[in-house]
Amino acid sequence: MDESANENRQIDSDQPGQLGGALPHPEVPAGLRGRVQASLIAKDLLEARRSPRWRAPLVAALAAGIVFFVLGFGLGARRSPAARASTGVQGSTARVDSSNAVARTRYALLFYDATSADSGQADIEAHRQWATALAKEGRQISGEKLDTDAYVMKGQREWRAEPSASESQLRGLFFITAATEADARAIARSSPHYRHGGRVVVRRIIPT
Amino acid sequence: MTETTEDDRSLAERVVRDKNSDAFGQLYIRHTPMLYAVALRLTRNRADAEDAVHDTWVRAVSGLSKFRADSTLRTWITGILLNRLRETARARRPESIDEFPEPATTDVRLPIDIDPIDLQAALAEMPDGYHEVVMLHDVEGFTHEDISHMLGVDPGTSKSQLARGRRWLRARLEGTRGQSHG
Repeated sequence: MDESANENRQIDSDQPGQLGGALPHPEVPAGLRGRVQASLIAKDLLEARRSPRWRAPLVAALAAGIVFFVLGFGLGARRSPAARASTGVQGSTARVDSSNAVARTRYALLFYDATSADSGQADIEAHRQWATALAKEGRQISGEKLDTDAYVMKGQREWRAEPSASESQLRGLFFITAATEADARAIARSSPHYRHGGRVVVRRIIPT
Repeated sequence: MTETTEDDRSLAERVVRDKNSDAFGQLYIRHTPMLYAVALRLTRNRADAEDAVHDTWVRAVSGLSKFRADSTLRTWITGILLNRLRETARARRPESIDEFPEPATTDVRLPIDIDPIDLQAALAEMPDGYHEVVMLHDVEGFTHEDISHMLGVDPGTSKSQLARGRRWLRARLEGTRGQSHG
């Protein structure tokens, strides 16, 4: 190899990006986009968009609602006004509304555990993978891990909360969408936190 | 059929005004490979890089209405990423580039025929202070003007850090070559 020729083949000091060709971009993790979008939706920075896999069940639910509505209307037309008031059209319409409402129902999953529980990187990674898998199913999910340091405020007083070995602490929380409360509980049961001995509290979020 | 590409500013406006998921998706696809590459090369850890990119997008969209025309969206978002990475680095390991000794060589140019594997290995060991500017300028193609916006430093500081980083890289690569040839 001609050393002098090699010496001349050097990158220009001022030209940016000359090493870029030698270092292609690594592949972006597949679940990252869902995780980012879920966080943005949870912060009301982005509108939720139903993914294509949601469309078939949604169309089926709407179709079923229309069928119930029509059947209820026909049934109600053959019944007395008193009977219609107690069941009939009104009940079928309510059923359609409620099916739409549950699809948007949000739940908080509150993750408690003992102070000695593992809170290392492996634990964080297990929770991240769990959340990513849920996001891939088309669910909205966002969450945060909480520091154990805490302050209690009461009136003008405030003090640092001392962790107690006998007390469970809130270690993190997730917000999810679920079709039913049973669905939300099933999601909580699937979490790595629950499997590792932690305690998960499921609470429905009341729209305000 | 002609394919039109909506520019970043227009997409950003749709995200701010309409919270539009499609517009966000286009921005995400356009910029995330670069953001993730920078994050991964600076953190050297996939989970940390993923967290950093996640937080960067959340911060960027939260503050998108404040994005001004004095830099490109790419530069602006990369600045957010670098701030996020620096916060984590400060919390974990306080470190200053002044702690690292400068290699003796004064030649700030790099050979153009660098082996990618040697380059990756050298960059993985590069002190953080140099690493940022070398990554941004020589690998990702940002100008010193861009880097000065991102890091909040003078373009001259960016140039001098690049020179120091290249000196370090050149010395490291020459060491590698010496080992592989010797």
